[in-house]
Amino acid sequence: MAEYPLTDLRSVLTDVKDAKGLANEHYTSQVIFDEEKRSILFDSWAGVGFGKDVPNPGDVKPIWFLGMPLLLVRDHDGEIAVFQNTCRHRGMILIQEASNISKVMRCPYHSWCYGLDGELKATPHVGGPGHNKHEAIRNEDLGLYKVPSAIWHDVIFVNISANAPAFEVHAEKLIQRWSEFQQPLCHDDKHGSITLDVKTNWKLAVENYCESYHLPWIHPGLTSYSRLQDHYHIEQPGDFSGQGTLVYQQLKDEAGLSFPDFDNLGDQWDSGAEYIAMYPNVLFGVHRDHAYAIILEPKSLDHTLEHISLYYTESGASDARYEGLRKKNASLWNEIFKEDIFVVEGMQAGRHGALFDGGKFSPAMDGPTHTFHHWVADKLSTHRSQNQANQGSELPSS
Amino acid sequence: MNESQSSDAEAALQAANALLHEQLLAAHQAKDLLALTELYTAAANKEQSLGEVSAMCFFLTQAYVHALQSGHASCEQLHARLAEHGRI
Repeated sequence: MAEYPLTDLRSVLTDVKDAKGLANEHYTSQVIFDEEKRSILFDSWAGVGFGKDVPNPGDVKPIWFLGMPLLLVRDHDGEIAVFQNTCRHRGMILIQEASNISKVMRCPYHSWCYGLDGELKATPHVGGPGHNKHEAIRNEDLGLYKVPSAIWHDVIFVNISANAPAFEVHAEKLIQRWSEFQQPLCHDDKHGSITLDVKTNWKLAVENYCESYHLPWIHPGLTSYSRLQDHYHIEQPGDFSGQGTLVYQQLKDEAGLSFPDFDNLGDQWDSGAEYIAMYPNVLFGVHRDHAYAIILEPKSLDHTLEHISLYYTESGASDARYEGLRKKNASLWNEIFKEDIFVVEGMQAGRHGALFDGGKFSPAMDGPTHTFHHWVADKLSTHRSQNQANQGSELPSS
Repeated sequence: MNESQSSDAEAALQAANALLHEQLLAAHQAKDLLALTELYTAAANKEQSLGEVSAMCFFLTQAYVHALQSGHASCEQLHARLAEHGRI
């Protein structure tokens, strides 16, 4: 049983005006990082990839998520599934590189073969040379381990521990909030994929994304037309938080052309846009004419990859008339996200200040960030209580 | 068959085996699933003609796996030949 440092969660689990932020150890301790990996990232629905990563039937893509080898698979019906990328025979990595599978996935070691549904299809020589069956080898019991997965806004979510509520329950409120965007979101294959390499704990990227407080200082280019007072907080305790703007302006080219709008959006979206962190590790943005998703991939305690993916309507993503706009839009977002790097890296460095107590929230401006901290602390608190209960049950009776 | 003819036949068999061996190595190197299916099938057929059921089933298995992986048209037939001998 792991012994966790007793970080104080109670000071987070209170009203924002009295609360402190998570303690430094949540950004500097490997033990806490491992605890959060299990109790937050594995126990919840974490984003691990995009549908656009496996665009065609038969596409498979191996990925690593927090030390777990996973395999993204799009079957010949177009459905996406996620498996553990480990052969059930000797534990060999099954798929080494992204490829397209016509029939089966063959382990390169002893050639056990699996269908795209994960089912074990062939076990060559398993009963001896030229004998391909054995009474001890039951194919129906030896399929690839399937990881619960769901796709929303092209993000592939997994619940590695398989103990979370169904994704539709987990994400119900955000799905409802953005139901108007439940329509084809088409990826810009040429310019719409950006990855930023950031020396920070993954949570700091969430925290920075949630709030609009920093916009006038970090993104002055935005606030020239979108003032701080034009933004509003979005707080859904236990689910998500973020910010919205009331003055979104569409990008236009020299000829005045702008991207086509998504279908049948309400008036709210004429000049509105929203930016929401879906806990634990996916950041979304929606506008009348484009959307994006950012998957935060924690590589280590203080190293995160930010995978950004941009989406438009079908014609917005593919029509040659919008090529210049797509390039410009990707460039603009890239610049904005890069402006945040020194902040999240600076907060990571600052967390080594031993006298820092987690920080004082502005009740007026930091609500969305506190909502995230509260969610993290609540998850950890539950996890620690369960650990204590399990530890108690393991004690010998006197 | 006299001694000379027997020696010639043995040499021809060895040469054929060497050629097949080289072709298989090249196909493995190139990850050419079609060639692997066909070459292992040829090896199985040769063993069958010699009455070597065990060796035939070994090569049929090799051919079947590569046919299965590539979706080769002979996949079902290879499966049937293995099933005929209770090997799958």
